This record gives sequence, C-alpha cells and structure tokens, in this order.
Amino acid sequence: MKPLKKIMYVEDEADIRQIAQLALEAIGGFEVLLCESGQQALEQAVAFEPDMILLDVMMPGMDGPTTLAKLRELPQISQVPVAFMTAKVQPDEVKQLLSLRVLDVIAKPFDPMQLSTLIEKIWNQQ
Amino acid sequence: MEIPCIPENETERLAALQHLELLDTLPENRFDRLTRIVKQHFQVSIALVSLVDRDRQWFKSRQGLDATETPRDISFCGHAILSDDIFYIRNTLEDVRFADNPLVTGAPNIRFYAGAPLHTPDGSRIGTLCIIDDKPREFSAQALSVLRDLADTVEAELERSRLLELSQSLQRSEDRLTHLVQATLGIIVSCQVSADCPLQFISSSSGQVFGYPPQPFMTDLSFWIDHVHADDRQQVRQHLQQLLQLEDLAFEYRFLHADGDYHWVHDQRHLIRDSHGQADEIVGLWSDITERKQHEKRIQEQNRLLDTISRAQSRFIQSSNIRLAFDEILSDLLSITDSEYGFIGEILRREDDTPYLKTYALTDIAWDDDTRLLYQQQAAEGMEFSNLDTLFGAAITSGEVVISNDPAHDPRSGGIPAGHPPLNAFLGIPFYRNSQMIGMVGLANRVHGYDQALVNFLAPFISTMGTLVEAIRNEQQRAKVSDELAGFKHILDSTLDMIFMFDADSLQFVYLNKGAVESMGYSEQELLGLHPYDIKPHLTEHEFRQLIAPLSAGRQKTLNFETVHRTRDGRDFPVEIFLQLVHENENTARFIAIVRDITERKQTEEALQDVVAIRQAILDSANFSIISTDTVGVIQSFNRHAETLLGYSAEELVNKQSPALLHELDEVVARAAQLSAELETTIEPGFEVFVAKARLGSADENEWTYRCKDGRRFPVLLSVTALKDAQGNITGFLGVASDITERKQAEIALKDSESRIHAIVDTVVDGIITINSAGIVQTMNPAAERIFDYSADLVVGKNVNMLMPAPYSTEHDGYLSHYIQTSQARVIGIGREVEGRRSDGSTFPMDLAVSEMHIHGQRMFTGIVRDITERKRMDQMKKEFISTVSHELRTPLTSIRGALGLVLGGAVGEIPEKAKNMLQMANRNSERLTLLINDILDLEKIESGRMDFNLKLLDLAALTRVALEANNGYALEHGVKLSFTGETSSVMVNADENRLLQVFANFISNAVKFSAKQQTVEIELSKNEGWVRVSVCDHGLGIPDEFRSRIFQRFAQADSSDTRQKGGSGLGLSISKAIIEHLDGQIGFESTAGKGSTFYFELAQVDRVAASDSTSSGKLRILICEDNPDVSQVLSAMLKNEGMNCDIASSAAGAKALLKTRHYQVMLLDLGLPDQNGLELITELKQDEQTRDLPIIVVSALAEESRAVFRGDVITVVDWIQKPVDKTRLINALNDTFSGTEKPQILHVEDSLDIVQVTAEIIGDMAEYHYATSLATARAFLQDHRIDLLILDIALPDGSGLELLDSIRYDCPVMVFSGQEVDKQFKSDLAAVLTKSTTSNEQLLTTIRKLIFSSRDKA
Repeated sequence: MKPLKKIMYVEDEADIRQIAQLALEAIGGFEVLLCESGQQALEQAVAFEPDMILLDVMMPGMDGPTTLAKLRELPQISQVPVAFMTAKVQPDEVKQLLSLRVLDVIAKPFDPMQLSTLIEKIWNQQ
Repeated sequence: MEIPCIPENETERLAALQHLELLDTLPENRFDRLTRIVKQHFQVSIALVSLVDRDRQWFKSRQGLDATETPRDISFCGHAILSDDIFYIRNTLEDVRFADNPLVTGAPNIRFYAGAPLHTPDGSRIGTLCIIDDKPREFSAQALSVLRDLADTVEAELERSRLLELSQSLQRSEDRLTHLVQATLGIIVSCQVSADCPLQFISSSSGQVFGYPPQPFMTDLSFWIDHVHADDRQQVRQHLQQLLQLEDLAFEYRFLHADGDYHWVHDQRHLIRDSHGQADEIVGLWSDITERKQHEKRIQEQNRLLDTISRAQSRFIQSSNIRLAFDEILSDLLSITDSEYGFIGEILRREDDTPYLKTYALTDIAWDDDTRLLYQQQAAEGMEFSNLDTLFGAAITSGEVVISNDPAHDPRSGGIPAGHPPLNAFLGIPFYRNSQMIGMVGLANRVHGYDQALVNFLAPFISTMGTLVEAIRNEQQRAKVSDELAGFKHILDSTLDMIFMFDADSLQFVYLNKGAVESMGYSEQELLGLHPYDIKPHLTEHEFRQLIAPLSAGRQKTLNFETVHRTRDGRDFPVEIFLQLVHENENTARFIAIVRDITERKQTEEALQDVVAIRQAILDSANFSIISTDTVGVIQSFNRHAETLLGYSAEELVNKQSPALLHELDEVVARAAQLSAELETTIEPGFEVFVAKARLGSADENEWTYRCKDGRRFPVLLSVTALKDAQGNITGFLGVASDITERKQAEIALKDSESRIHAIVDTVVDGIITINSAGIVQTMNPAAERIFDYSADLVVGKNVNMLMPAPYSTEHDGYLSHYIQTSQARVIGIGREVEGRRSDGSTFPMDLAVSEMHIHGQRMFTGIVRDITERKRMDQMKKEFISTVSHELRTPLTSIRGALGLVLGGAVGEIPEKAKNMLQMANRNSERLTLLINDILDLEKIESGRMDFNLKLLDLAALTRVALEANNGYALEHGVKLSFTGETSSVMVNADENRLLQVFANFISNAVKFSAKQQTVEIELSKNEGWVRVSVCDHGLGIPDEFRSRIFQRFAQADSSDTRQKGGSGLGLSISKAIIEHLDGQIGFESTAGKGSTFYFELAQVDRVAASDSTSSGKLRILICEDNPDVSQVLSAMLKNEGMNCDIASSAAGAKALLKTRHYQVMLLDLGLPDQNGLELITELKQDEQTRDLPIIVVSALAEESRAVFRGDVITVVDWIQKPVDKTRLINALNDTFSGTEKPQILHVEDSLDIVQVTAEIIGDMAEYHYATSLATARAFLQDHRIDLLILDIALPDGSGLELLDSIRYDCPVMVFSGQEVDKQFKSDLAAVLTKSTTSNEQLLTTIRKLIFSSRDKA
C-alpha cells in the first residue's frame, strides 16, 4: 500500500479548516488541500489527485454524503478512500454514514495533536 | 375532644363485623391468650381486642379492664380503624384530640395508646388489637412491628371464627338430616349408578313397610322391580334413567306388599356425585302412601261431585233452557259414576194418582228408526214413561233405591224391548222434597256394578237434584208472576246455599236468602246495610271491585272464587262463591252470589296435610320457601323455611290468607299489565297474576319482592306451578321461592361495575375494539370510531381486518386461527406498533395491545389502539432537535479544543509558563464540555428508551478484568492502584457489554478521583443467592451525610469546588443507575466518612454451572438439566470426554432460560427437579414451537415408572435411562439423536467481524455457519456451496448485499440483518428483515431457527 501523502479536506467552517490544516500539515506533514464547499471539492479534486478525502457532513449547499456521491461519479476520484469528519455522532447517524462505504467517521471535536496519527491508522487499516 | 370520624365504608364495615358473629359473645380463650401475651410483652396496664360497632366499642377480649364496652364517641379505637397504620399516642395529655377525653381525665386514665387495626379478609377494619397504659410511653418501630404481627394473629383467629361457624352449621345440617332419616317412616335405600339401579343398601324398615325383610331385596337384584306393578314398571325404569340427568326425582308406583295387595309407594331419589362430579351413588326414600292415595282419591271424587253440584246449580241458574242444563248435569253425573247411560226425571202423577216418569235429560240410546224418531220428537219436551214394571219403575213404586247388578235375572226387571242396548247393571235413586218423591235418577252399566257406597257418595248430589226439581216446579207454579227475578228469589230462598244479591254500583246488599242471613249471624236488616267486602275479611273494597271487574265489564259471565266470610261474632269460615251479574232492566243491574260454606271440604283438605307430613319434612329441609294454595289463592301449606324467611307462622296463613299478602301491590299491578299484554287477555291484579301462566300449563318463574311480617322486604325468585290431580285438573298451585338478596346485590354490583366500565370505555382516549374468535367486531368505543373515522355500526358485525391495510388485512384471519389452534401469540399480551387503516383508506401508525378474555365461555379479544402519528412525529422532531443541538454545540467546540490543543501541543511555538496554565485550564474544560454533551445525550436516550441494549451472556469476571485494563491508565495518571479481589472464576450474566463497561468506567474513575495518591481501589466480585455483585471500593474521604440522598441525582456533586478539582459532568452515576436498572439490576453504595466509599451494582446470575468454552465450535452442545450437582458433574465429565460441550441447569426455569439463549442438540433431563415436575417440563417444551424438536433423554431414578405413566411422543423422548447411568446406553442414545441429521448450511455476508462472532455464537451448533465479508467472497462461496439460509448485511465494502439476491438460483430463504432500511421492491424476495440496532439475540436466534427449519421442511 502506498503511503498517505495528499489529503483533501472539505469543511465549511473556516476556524476548523485552519486548525485541521495546522494539525495535518504541521504535525502530520501531509500535503493538504482545503475546500470550503462540496462544489469547490468537485472542481478541484481531479487536479489535486488526493490519496484520501476528509469530508464534513453538515455543509450549506451540498452536504457531505451528496458531495461523496458526486465525487464517486468522477472516474479519477471514485476509488479514492474517504472518511467523514463530523459532529453528527449519534450512533444511528454514524451507522448511516458508515453504510456509505467510507473508511471511518471521525468525531468532532477532535484532538488536533492526535488527528494525523488517527488518520494514518485509518489509512493503514484499509 | 375529637370524636372519631365514620369511615367511608361504614355500612360494609358493620356488615363485615356482624358477619363475624362475635359481638356480645362469651370470652374465648383463643383471644384471651393473645391479649395476655400482648399485655405481658409490652408491659402495659391494659390489652384489648376491641370491635368497633355502630355506637360502641365492644371488647372481645380484655386484660386489665373491667368494662366490656365504651361509647364509640370517646373511643380511641374509633380513630385507630380509620387507617391501616398503627394508631398510637405517646402522651394523651399532650394531644388536643384526647387531653379532655373522659377516658383520659377519669378511669382508666389513659396516657398511652397504641391500636393496630384488625381486618376482615375483605379488608374492612372492624376493630383493633390495642394496648393502653396509664403513663406516657415511647413506642419504637420494632414495637410497632411486633404489635402488627400480634394483630395479624388476632385477624387469623377472627377468620377462624367464621370457619368454626361454618363447620358448626354444617354439623347442624348433618344432625338435622340424621334426625330426619331416623324419624322417617320410610325405607332408606342406596343403589348403584347403573341400569335398574341395583340396591346396595336397604334399611330394615322394609319389613315394617313392605312386609319383606331386607334380604330378598339384596340377594335378588330383580326382586324389587319384579314386585313393582307390571303397569308401572316401564315408567319406573324410565324414571330411573332420567335420574342420571336430573339428580333429584320423585315418582310413585304400586308395589306388591307381602300381604298380597298392591301398595302405593312414593319413591324419592337423589343422585350423589363425588368430588369430581362423577355420579357415585343414588340414595332414595320409599314411603308407603297407599292411605294418602286412597284419601286423595276420595277427596278427588268428592271434589268432582261438589264441582258437579256447583256446576249443576250455576247452570240451572244461568241457563235459559232448563233441559239443556239438565243434559249437562246428566253428562257430569255419568262421568263421575262411570256409567254408560242414564236419565234424570221428574215423577208426576196422573189424575188417577198413578205415578209416571217424565225425563228432564235422557241419554240417546235409540236403537231403531222408531225409537230414534220418538227421541227426536219428545226428548226436548221430556219423554214420558208409564210402564212401571221395570227396574226404574221398581224404584218409583217402592220409593227406594234400586241396585241391580244382574238385571237379566232380576225379578223386578220386566225385561227390555228388543234392540235396546244391553243392560248389565242399573241404579235407580228416587229423590224427595219435603218427604215427597219428586224425581229420580237412573244410571246404567257401570263397569263393576253399583253399590251402596256410590249411593252414599251421590247423596249430596241427589239432594241438590231435589232442590232443583222443586225449584222448577215452583217456577212453573209461579209462571204467571211476571217478575222473573221474584221467582228466582223464591227458588233461591229455599235452596241449601246462601244467596246474596247486591247492587252493581253501590255493592250494597239488596237481597239475602234465609241461609245467608242465618249463616252470618246478622239480622236481615243489618245485612242489608252492608256490602260483600264487609263480611270478607281478606278483601278490601278495592280488591273486591277488581275481582268482580270482569263481570261488570261483561268480559266474563260468571265468577267462581273461594274466600272467607266473617260472622257477626268474628268467626271466620271458608266459602265458595259463584257470582253472576243479572240485568234487571236497562238501568238496574244486580249481582247474585251463591255462597257455600266449605268448612267441611277445607277440613278434609287439611287432613290431607297430615298424610303428606313426611313430604313436608323434606320440603322443610329444603332451602326454599314453599307455599301452596288452592285454586283461588287461599294458602294451603307454608313450609318452615317460609316461616323463618317471612316471619309468619303457618298457622297464621294457612286457610286464611292469600299469597298476595306477601307481595307489593305495585309489583302485582305491573305484572298484571305485563301478563295481560303477553297472554292477550286481561289479567286482573290479584292472585291470578301469580298463577295465570301456571294455569296455562307453563311454569312461571319471576322475581318478586317478598314483604315480611315485620315489613322487611327482600327479593325472591318465585316459581309457580299448577298442582293437578290424576285427571289433570288443577287442584291448586305451588310456589317455590328462593331468597335472591345476595344474587341481586351481586347483580347490582355487577351492573354498577359494568356501567362504570362502559362509562370508562366510552370516555377513554384509546380506541377499544372487541372481536370474537372469528375476527368479527363485537364492540367499538367512541374513541375507536374517531381513530378509524368509522361509525361503530359500520364496523360492528364485520371482520376487523377492514381496519387494517394490506398485507395485514389479508393475513389477520390466518393469525387469529393460528393463535386459536396453537395459542402462539403474535400480538396477544404483547403491545406492538402496527398500521391502521381509516375509512378513507389512509393508513396511520398505531400502538396495539391485544388481550384475551372469556365471556360466557366464548373467547373474545380486546384490542386497545392508540393513534401514534403525532407521537411519531414528535419523536422524529425530538430526535432531529437533539441531533442538531449536539452538532451545533460540537462544531464551535471543535474549533476551541482544536485551537487550544494546537497551542498547548506547541504547534504554534513556545508559550510562556503562566499562559500555559491558563490554556490548560481552558483545554480541560473544553474536554469536560464535550463529555457533558455526550452524557446528556446518553441520559436522554435512556429516558426515552432509545438506547440500544445488546444483551448477551457475559462472563462478568472476564469483563471486570477488561474494565480494569481499560481504566488502568487513568488510575496510573492519578497515582492510584487498581486491584481485583473476590470471585474470579467465571460468573455469567445477561447484559450489554459496552454499557457495563460504561458503568465500570464511571465507578472506577470516581473511585480514582477521590483516592489519594498511592492508595488502592479494590474491585471485588461476589456471589449471593443468584446475584453477582461488583463493588468498587476506595479509601478516600467518604461521602458527606447530607449528600448521600442526592448522589444518584443528575449534576450531583458534593461540593461545587469538586467540580473544578475533579472534573466530570455530574451525570455519570445517574447514567450508571439508569443502565443497571435497565438490566434489571440494583445499584447502591456504602460510605464511611473519612474511611472511603464502596459503590456496587448487582445483576442476576444466569444459571450455568459449567459454562462451556465458548470459543470451541463444531462440537455438540448438550444441556444437562439436573439438580444434583454431583450427578451433573459426572454426566458433564462423561460427555466432555466424548468431545461434547455441556451446559448445566439445576432447575427447570434455568433450563428454559438457557434454551432461549442457545441452541442445543439434546437435553438430558432429570425428572425430580426442585421447581417443576420433569414430565410437565417435557410437555411444556413439546408445546413450545422453539423447543418442540429438541430431543430429550430422561435420566432419572424414576425413568422406568415414568415411562409407563407418560404417554408422550416417543420421538421427543429419545430414551428413558435409569440412574445410575449406564454410560454405553447414554452414548448410544446420544448417537441415535445425532445420526441422520446433516446440519443446515448458513452463509452470513457481513463485513463486521464483531457481528460475525456474535452471530456464530448465537447459532452455535444449530447449523454450519459460514461467513463472507464482501460480495466477491460471498459470490465465490455460493458457486461452490448449496446453502439453507443466506443472511445479508446491506452496506458491504464492494456494494449492497442485496445484489446477491440474483446469485441464488434455488429456493433458499434470504434474511437481511443490517442497520439500513430495505427498499420495498426487495421485500417480497426476503424471508425476514431484522435491524441490527433493534434486534435482540433472542429474536435473531428465533428467526434463524424458524427459517432453517422451514427451509428444511420444504426440502
């Protein structure tokens, strides 16, 4: 399995984008592309060629699952592993998200110091 | 002073007290013993058993007090009975209610009082067991409990009083019976219950009564029936057969007495049943009633004669045609004398004084044309016979009675004309008036001839004939008198009877004959001022007018009734009255009453009463009031029960009163109206009301109110039947009444409760629908009408499936009949959520609870429905709200926590030490806030019942080790050590692993938080009587007293400063409590200030002594149900040696519990279990769908005997093995069970290995279990294997599980077990759909089991 390098993170909250970017770039050393909406993700995904996509669920306009479905329609992206990062963590919500064939659901709030390790772990469990 | 209140149920309470029958009885040692103990134990001056009566308290038992009662107003016990609690006053002087009570201010100077209420079994508080002292006292909780215990003992004694009373009453009734039998002048017999009822006992009185000793009856079984008159035998046999259905039967027959004559026997039989209702024995009482029979016959004949005479008189008076009247009189006469033909004639004299006969009536015996012609021409006017050289002529010439029973050889007979019908016997009786022979009666051909007895018998009739004939003569003489009535007066004047005439309007007497005047003792003038009702003590003017109303109205021509006349000097005598209304002219109408003194007849009738004394005795012992009357309502008998019930003595009523005396006029009037409508004829409100139906031949049974002599009233069920003589004529009426007060009360209570229920049913918000066993709606309440938008009349009578959408509507009938056949319920007794269908076809979710009931032996089902559309909507809204709130709170927290974490983690460079402290504080609190949100959501879920509990068998010891491991890091952080003590071998509980770990985490983290560094937190596991306790013990400061009661409350923390210091949400214990309680366990703590606290929870231990190694699979699993641990261990070891797994249940309940959670190949069963008979358990398991296929091997010391007794299904019980166990036989039996069973194959497509593991564990050895974690592997497996069941998860890494539906080309059930909804389009292809989060292990097992068995059945 190839090592995880490029992560695309789709998140509408600017604060959280900033924290995640710090956590993933500064601590994890990943190359990160931040998108502030599903639409933006769809526009930039192919060019970025991410190894993995992190998706927020509750976003205005296009929510996470919809974005996921549209991303999967892109041939170049369809096989890219996805994990959700969300504050929607009621058990049935998590179940519902997991059923969309994603690697995992990462609960918010997350520990920024541990985030990279967690994502690495998820990546390796594939 | 406060007067005690009267309890709400005072009436019932007093009734209950009365019922005990203890008031004012003598002291009894059984109560005194108790009061002595009480006095001694409590060291008080007085101890009493006090019964609180209406106005007093009366002491059944008293120690230290002389008074036997005190007024209720000042009683302490009057207060004590107001509550179930013990009523006690420490110091009466300090209690305003009692300080000035005379029992306090004066003797016995009560200072202290404690009274425990005494209850009757129905809960009425009828008194107390109380103690009293003359100095104030304290009374501890323990003392209260002792007093209560002693009061319970007194209650038991009270109840025993009633039992004693019952047994005494039983004894009395036995004594009465014995006495009755001894006093009976009959033969007591007992016989077997079979054809002809062979005798097994006959009393020695048979010699006295029948002239035969008991021997021949006993040795020759047909002796009795052979001696029954041949003509009666057939009927007697029929009666004996009826007896088997009727229980009680009395019949009469003739029996050949040893003296050679037939005697009449009254045979009363009673069928006795044993305690199972089986006919066991027949007892009988035979009495010789020959005398009574003869007497009855005489009385009957006498009555017929009197009737004939009465009829003759009234006919004579009524009829306008004298000859027609005589024709009828003759016909009556022939009938009562059994004669073939005859005549009644007048004897006249020709001018030469030769007598000749002119007939008034003559039987037509014309034998040829001439005689026929003669008869036709002359009969109407009267035929004349002058030839006295005949038998009748002999009577005329001699003036004497002529009896000739051989006319052919009688010298007096002049022969008869040729062709004259044969003359075999002749009776001629001349009759006289004023010593002058004026007529004669001639009768012919009585079968057994004529005799003097008949002549004597006919005497009254003959004399009446004289009266009548003379009357006719008189009438003829007075032919010229225009006033017909005047003529009547004269005639009537001279009759033997009393004649009264009275005005139709005023009812005043206008004429009285001599007899009338003489009989009454009044002067004629006095009588003329009176009215008929003045001389009839039993009739008021109103009643009399009602009585004669049918005549006044012209509905009836004559009226015949019996009543009583009272003479001037107060003497009463019974009379029979014939009453007729005569219109004198257009304006005047008068009543003519012919009255006869029937004292003699009554006396004869009374005499009859003596003869039936034995019968009376039997009637008396019956629990009915039995009243018989004559035909017009005069009471003839009044049994002893009626006397007790009604307060009248038989003497007061018999021959004097009508039963109307006992009735309410209103009821009689109402019933009269009702009967009139029913019978379409007018029934006047009087005696006729009671007997009108009985008169028509039907038994009349009605509820009435009886009025006792003292005015008391009570309801009775009165059944009236007509008494008839051998000819079927009504001779009187018999009314049998039973007191139905209790039944009425019960009915009223029932009605009340029914109407209450109706009121409730009609007003509840839930819909209530009842259906019968065919699914047809019987009732529907208004709420159900509203819910389904149907009016009840559109639904009642139709199948309930009209209220359900498809597919339920088509399947419901099947469910119902399945339930009725198998008793296996889908919804009955279980609430569930279903869909309903409204009248417009729309559907809605509803809660349905169905219960079963039996009404009048019919099976009914009640469904309670509640429209939950709104609730569902609210649930959904709530869920969304919580989800949103949670999300919205977490989102900013993510930024806060993230930012703090990065800063503190050094991601943005070095920070000063002071700032770091502050930032750490912020970070810690943001973590707390996150936990708090989680906890709040958990709590909300538990409360709303939405938290999923995944119950399974867990080894609590193993789980405790896991919990220790998981929390060890946290403990180390705080410098605290965790240790595990106590029971460490496996202990099984049924619980949710993750939820228990949550509780462990809460307990352990709390203990750690409140421990000092270097201290140890001990986690201990202990077992106690079926419960397992996990205790977590710290050695911290303990819990302050004031906080203990709040400790499980939300946000409870002892000291707000703790919050900051220790962290935590304050919800942990509250959640732990909810979790443990959800698992049916208990949670609690013990704490000593300064020494530490122990928190514990307890769960029920699952009965499994030797839990198998759960990881081993592929082995056979066997359930050993055996209460002796030695035996079960031996069996277990024996089987493990053979490579089998065993679970052991030491009771039937334990076995059933294990069978619910696991599949077993076979069960070894001991028959002597502590909680259930093994044979019953087999039957029960056989009836349960889930276990009916479980092979059972009985291993018992009683195996051989039980095998004989138990006619069970041989397939179900594989073998019956005697203890001690023969190992070879056991192994063979086990091999028999396993051979030929190829395991079903299951493929489970599931990517979660956790779920795979759980499912594999559940399925156990029931089937061969395979799993695939992706569609690809599943497809590969299906190509090579044939399976019996496919279990699918939907969300799989490489697609939806449902894609596999196309891969199976043969008939194999597919079941979805997933967290996702299934699209409707797939549902038809699926045998079952289970949702992961809502399915219990038990449900999963049941469903899998059902599907593989159905699949195999098809194969």
